[in-house]
Amino acid sequence: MWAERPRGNALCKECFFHAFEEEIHHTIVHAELFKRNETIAIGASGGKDSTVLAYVLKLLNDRHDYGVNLVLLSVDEGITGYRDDSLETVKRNQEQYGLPLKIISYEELYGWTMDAIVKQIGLKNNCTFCGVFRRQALDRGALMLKVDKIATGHNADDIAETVIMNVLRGDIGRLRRCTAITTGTDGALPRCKPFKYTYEKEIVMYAYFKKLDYFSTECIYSPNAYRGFARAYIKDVEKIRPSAIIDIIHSGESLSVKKDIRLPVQGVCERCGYISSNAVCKACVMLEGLNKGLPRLGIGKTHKERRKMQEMLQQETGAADSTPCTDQSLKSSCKCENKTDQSECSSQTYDSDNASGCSTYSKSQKCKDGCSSTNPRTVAKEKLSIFGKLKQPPSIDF
Amino acid sequence: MPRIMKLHRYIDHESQMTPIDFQVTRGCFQVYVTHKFRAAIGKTKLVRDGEKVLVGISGGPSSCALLHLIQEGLSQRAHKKLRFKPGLLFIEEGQVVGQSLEERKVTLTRIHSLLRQSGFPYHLCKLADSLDLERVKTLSACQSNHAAVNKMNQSAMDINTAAVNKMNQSAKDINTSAGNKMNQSAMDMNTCINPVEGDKGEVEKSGHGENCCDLLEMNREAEKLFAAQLGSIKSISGKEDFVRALRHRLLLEFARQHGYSKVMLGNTGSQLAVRLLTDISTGRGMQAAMETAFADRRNTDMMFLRPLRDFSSKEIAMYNNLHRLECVFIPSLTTMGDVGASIEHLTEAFVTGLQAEYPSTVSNIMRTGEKLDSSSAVDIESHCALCQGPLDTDVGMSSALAALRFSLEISTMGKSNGKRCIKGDNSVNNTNDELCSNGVNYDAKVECCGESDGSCRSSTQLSVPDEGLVLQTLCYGCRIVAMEMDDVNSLPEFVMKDVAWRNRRSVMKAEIQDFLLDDR
Amino acid sequence: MPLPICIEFGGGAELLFGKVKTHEVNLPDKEASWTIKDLLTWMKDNMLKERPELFIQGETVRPGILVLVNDADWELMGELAYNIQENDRIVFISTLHGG
Repeated sequence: MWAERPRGNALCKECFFHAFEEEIHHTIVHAELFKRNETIAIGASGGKDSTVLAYVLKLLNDRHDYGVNLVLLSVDEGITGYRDDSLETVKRNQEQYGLPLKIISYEELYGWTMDAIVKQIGLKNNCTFCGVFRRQALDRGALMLKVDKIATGHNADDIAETVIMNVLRGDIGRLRRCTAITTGTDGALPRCKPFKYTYEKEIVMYAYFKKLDYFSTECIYSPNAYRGFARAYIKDVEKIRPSAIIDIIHSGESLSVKKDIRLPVQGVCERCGYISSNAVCKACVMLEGLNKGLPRLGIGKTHKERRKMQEMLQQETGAADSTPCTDQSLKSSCKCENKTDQSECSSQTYDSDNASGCSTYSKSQKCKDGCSSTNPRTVAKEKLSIFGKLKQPPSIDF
Repeated sequence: MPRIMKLHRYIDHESQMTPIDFQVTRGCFQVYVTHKFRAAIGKTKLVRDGEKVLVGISGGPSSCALLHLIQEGLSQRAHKKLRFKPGLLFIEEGQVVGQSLEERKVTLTRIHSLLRQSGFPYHLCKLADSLDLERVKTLSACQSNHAAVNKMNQSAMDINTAAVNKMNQSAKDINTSAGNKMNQSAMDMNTCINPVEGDKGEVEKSGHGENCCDLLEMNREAEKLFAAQLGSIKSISGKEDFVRALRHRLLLEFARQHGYSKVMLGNTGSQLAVRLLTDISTGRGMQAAMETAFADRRNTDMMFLRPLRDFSSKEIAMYNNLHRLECVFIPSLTTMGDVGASIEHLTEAFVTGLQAEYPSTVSNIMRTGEKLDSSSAVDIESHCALCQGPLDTDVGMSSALAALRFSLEISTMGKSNGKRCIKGDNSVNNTNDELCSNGVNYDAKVECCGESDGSCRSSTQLSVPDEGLVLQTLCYGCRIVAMEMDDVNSLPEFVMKDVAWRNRRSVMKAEIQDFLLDDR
Repeated sequence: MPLPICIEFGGGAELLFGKVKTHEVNLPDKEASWTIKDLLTWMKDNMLKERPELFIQGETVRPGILVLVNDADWELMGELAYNIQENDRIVFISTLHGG
């Protein structure tokens, strides 16, 4: 049994395992991903990447004594026939690897399952929703667990694909950020990608040889994603030159942006406190759209839509409120909470009533929130923690 | 007037690209193209009045259009005349695709007549000439006004070409270049200062046009060398990179030796978008921006300009059709090949296909390029010895390069030290290991090389440097190419000279290290 | 009545058609009028010498090949649906680098 490696070396099974694991160890050590005594949440979807990640991190933590606590964190998007099955896989992983698990659902966080979202907006663009929502869901879940970092299963192929996609879209801000191995150090929770230099092919091979238990069905909504083009492209390039994926990552790492190009400043969303390059983060814009029956809000890039939303917000809160920060954001968070409590509520009827219903709560929090706004990280943590406040405490066993 | 084309443009509006379409008539289209070409040259104010600009002509559609636009721009009837002095250079590359001598002659003859009709001074050389840059000075000068050369030396040359004798050859070179220089300047007067009268020069030349094919008979040794180098590169993608590097080097050297201060290329936006994405996919992300910018400043003494970068290939094809410009079809390594023949070929199919569905694709990619830093380091030692791009290999331990290096190391080491389980050729893997040696090893090698026999210090003699040393001077992308070769020491002479020079420099640096005072 | 037209190739597209740039052809008699879509099918069956996938993709021309009808972009003429007239000059120019 031989495993062919990207630069042409073939290894036997044992040597392949060793090489695969030590390469990830090399990445972790040299990129200084973990510090002793940190708690690391592994974003676990039940798919091959996160399953292998959980397995390898546990193994390396024992072998090289990182001294970190590992936790599995799963997001339930609410996709019938996909997530329920893959969550079962994660639950099995929890037992197999002896790692604690926390599952957090879109329903809890946003009041919307992906099934419900697809029902409203159709199959086009639904991946945009899912991606944006998932990104935040992990952070929110992680904050509830009070972890120090999130490790995700993004592999080299994913990163190469993102580089290509951002070149195609002309998105220079993301292009610059997407090859960073650790992100979010300046704002919300840091995230890292221990598989940054690990080929998808080898992850599959590793999982196969190790007989790891993972869920391999593609997301039932994914075929419509624009990402597909970039993915097809890098797969074709890889066929021509196997090292191409790492080559693309090298390219991404060595790109430098012109000094006079204005990059979006990363701040925090004034509604939910999540890290964002706009005043209101994309998830909040999208959520607003969904709740208002304007699902296209936030999908298109145009400023018109954002402006439309600003106008709506001003009507909502009264024109007097010109300082956008605290008040609104808390209201919106409350709204989310309320929404979850009465999840049967249809999106259209949902409006100022609830906002005013929450106002007492938001006022009591306002000052505290406003004062701490100097440090975005704390703001984020506090704001995000509000999300979890009204809910029953996370039920996980460490 | 009937409308002939729909133009898709994008207007940068509040940092959003707003698409606008308009249908144009023949006249409108002409005005649009001319205006955009002039604006590209005019607004940057990079080309000065009377400046000598070398125009790279491949014979393909975009360079034909470029030549035509320059001719129009310099003509008396032009509304606002361009005022630079163009000279044309054609690099013959038939050898790359394995064309027969006959096929190459046909191409060369057609190109020759195209260049001759332009009325500008022109030069012909072949890609293999880049392997012997010392020769470029003399040899190419001899080509510059070939017809005139022939007039003087016709018989002598016939003898020479029959028996390629080195002594003879160089003697001839000196002869012809000397004779040529006078002729050259005379022609400059004719063609540039008064383009309308360029015909005079042309009449004189036209009688000898056919002899342009003598070019193919010359410098055969370089061709042999080139064939060996190209042949030893395993992938077509690698070959393409190598050819591009040589072409660039030849243009650069030629322009330097012949007193040009700028080089103009006919790449269209469509081609450059493909270039940018190909660069990213071949690990050349750092040079992607300069490869696609209007002004490529990677060499401090020579600027490469791309005045057609705002045109699409479609617009250029339309323009050529409108003016019935006859282009010469130059086959490439991937002509008629599968989509997956090379990375560049695949990328072209990918971008063209995407563009058909999403018309903003090319402009989006180009916009990405514009926002990337295209300035380059001044220090020669921080340039790649092969492609002249910036060296992008000083990246630290948390990087793709380090990861790749480690991957090779561990794959060759096996689980327990010493016990190898590698299937296949161990020695190859070992060399790979060596090749990827990091900075620490590099220092050790420098010392070793300097002390062993001292040959590194002599300026005339080239020692055979360690492979790792050679790779140190190459950028990430060129390392991939070099590692595909059987022997990195068979890289072109200009690379090896550069390696030796850098090596001597670092030895010297090490020697004086003790006497240097820290600034702070 | 056969329909005489002129078909030209450029930019390397001629390589797929026996390296001949200009073809004077008579399209066979046909009940309905000839559209470019019909023409492409006809060309594929009667003129294309090799590698049809480098010229035709699905039922239209491969992206990157410019189609001109009497010097005007076929985009303005209805593309595949254009009704070919007698003595039309239809040009196919490859704008692709690899030919």
